[in-house]
Amino acid sequence: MDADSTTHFEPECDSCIAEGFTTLIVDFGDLAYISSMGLRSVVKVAKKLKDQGGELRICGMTGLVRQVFEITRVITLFPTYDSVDLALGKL
Amino acid sequence: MNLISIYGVDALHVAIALVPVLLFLAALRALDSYKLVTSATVLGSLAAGVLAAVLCFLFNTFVFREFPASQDAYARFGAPVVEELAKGAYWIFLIQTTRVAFMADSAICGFAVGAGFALAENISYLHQLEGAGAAVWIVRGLGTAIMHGGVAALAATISAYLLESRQWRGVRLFTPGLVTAMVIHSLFNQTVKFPLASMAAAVVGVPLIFGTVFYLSERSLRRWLGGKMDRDIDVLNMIGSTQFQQTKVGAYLMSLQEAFPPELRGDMLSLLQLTTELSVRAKGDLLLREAGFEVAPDPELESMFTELRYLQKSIGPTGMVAVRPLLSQTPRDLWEMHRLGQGLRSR
Repeated sequence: MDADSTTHFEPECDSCIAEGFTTLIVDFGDLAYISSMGLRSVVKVAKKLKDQGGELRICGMTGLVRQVFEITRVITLFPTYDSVDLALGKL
Repeated sequence: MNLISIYGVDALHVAIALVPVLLFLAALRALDSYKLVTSATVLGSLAAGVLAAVLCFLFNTFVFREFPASQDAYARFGAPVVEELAKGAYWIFLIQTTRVAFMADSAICGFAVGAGFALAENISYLHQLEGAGAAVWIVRGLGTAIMHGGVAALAATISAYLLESRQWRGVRLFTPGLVTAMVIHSLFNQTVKFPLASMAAAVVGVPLIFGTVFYLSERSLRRWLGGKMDRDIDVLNMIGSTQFQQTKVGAYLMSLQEAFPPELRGDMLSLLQLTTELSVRAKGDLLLREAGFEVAPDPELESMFTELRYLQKSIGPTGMVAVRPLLSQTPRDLWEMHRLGQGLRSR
C-alpha cells in the first residue's frame, strides 16, 4: 500500500462513510508493504469513523505490515482480527 | 498583595501592558497542529526571557549611567544588539541541543522568550511610568511586547530553517537570525516618534510572519515525516528479509567481520533495528497527533531505551564509530530520540 494505491483506498472508504456506513472492515491479508502515506490514510479513515461513532476493523495483518502498525502504535486505534469472518462475527 | 497595590497603577493599564503578548503566545500554541512544544518548554522559555530582561536592565542601566551623552544612540543601536543576544541565549540552547527541530516549534519558543522579556520590561515600566496614560500601555503591550516576541521568533525560525535546509552549524547557523532580529529591533526603536505606526507594523507584521512560518513548517514536517518513515520501513523490511546479506547494510556489516567478533556484529544489527524502530515509533506518534488522536504514554519505551543503552555499552566506543554510517544522526533524528526520552521521563 503505497502512494499510488492509497489514492484508491481513501476515496473508497470516504464513499462508504458518505453512504452512512460507520463500521468498515478492511482485509490486509494480501498486503506485503505499507508506506507512510498508506499508514496516514488508514489513520485518517479510522479518525473519520471514530468521529461518526463507528470503527475501522483490520483483518489478516502479518509480517512487515503488522510490525509497522505495532511499532507506530497505530494498531491501538482499532480492533484487529485474523480473518474477515471473525471481524464480521463481531458485528 | 497584588500588582495594583504594588505599583499603584490602574488595573486596565496592567492588563493592556501584560495580557496581549500572553494571548498571542496562547494563540500560537493553539494554531500549532502537532503540539510538539511542551508546556514546560514554553514556561522555561518565558522564564529565560524574564532573566534576560533582568540582565539587560542591569547592563543598560550601567551604560546609561556611565555614558549619559550616548543614551539616545545606545537605545537605538546598542540596546537591540544586547537584548537580542540575551534573548537568543535560550532559543539557541534549545536548537543547539535538538530540543526543538522544526520552524514552528522554534518560532513558539522564540516568541515565548521574547514574551518573558517583554513582561519583565513592562512590569518595570509600570513602576517607572506610574502616571502614564492608556495610550502608552497600548503601544507597549501591543507594539513593543509583540515586537520583542516577534523578532526573537523570527531569529529562531531563520536558524531552524538554515539547520534544516543548509545543515549549517555553530555561529554560522545562528548569526543570520540574530542579525535580522537586531536590525528589526533597531528599526523599531528608531520609530519612537511614531509609536502608533510601529505598533501597527508589529500587530500586522508578526501574525503574517507566523502564518507563513506555520504553513512552511507543517509542509516541511509532513514531507520529512513521509520520506524518513518510508526509509525506516525499508530498513525494517531489509533487516527482516532473507536477502539481508545482499543489501548495502548487510554487506557493510559483513565487511566488519575481521575487526569485530560475530556477537558484536549481531549487537550492531540489533542496534540498527532498535534505533529504526524508535524512529518509526516517534513518527507514529506524529501521525496520530496529525490526525487529532490523543497519544498515550508508550509502555514499551522504557525497556527499549534500556536495551539501547545495553547495546551501546556492549558495542563500545570503537564499535559505535564503525556502526555510525548505518545510523541516521541528523538533528531531527536526535530530536526524535530526545523527544522519546522526554516522554519517558514525564511518565
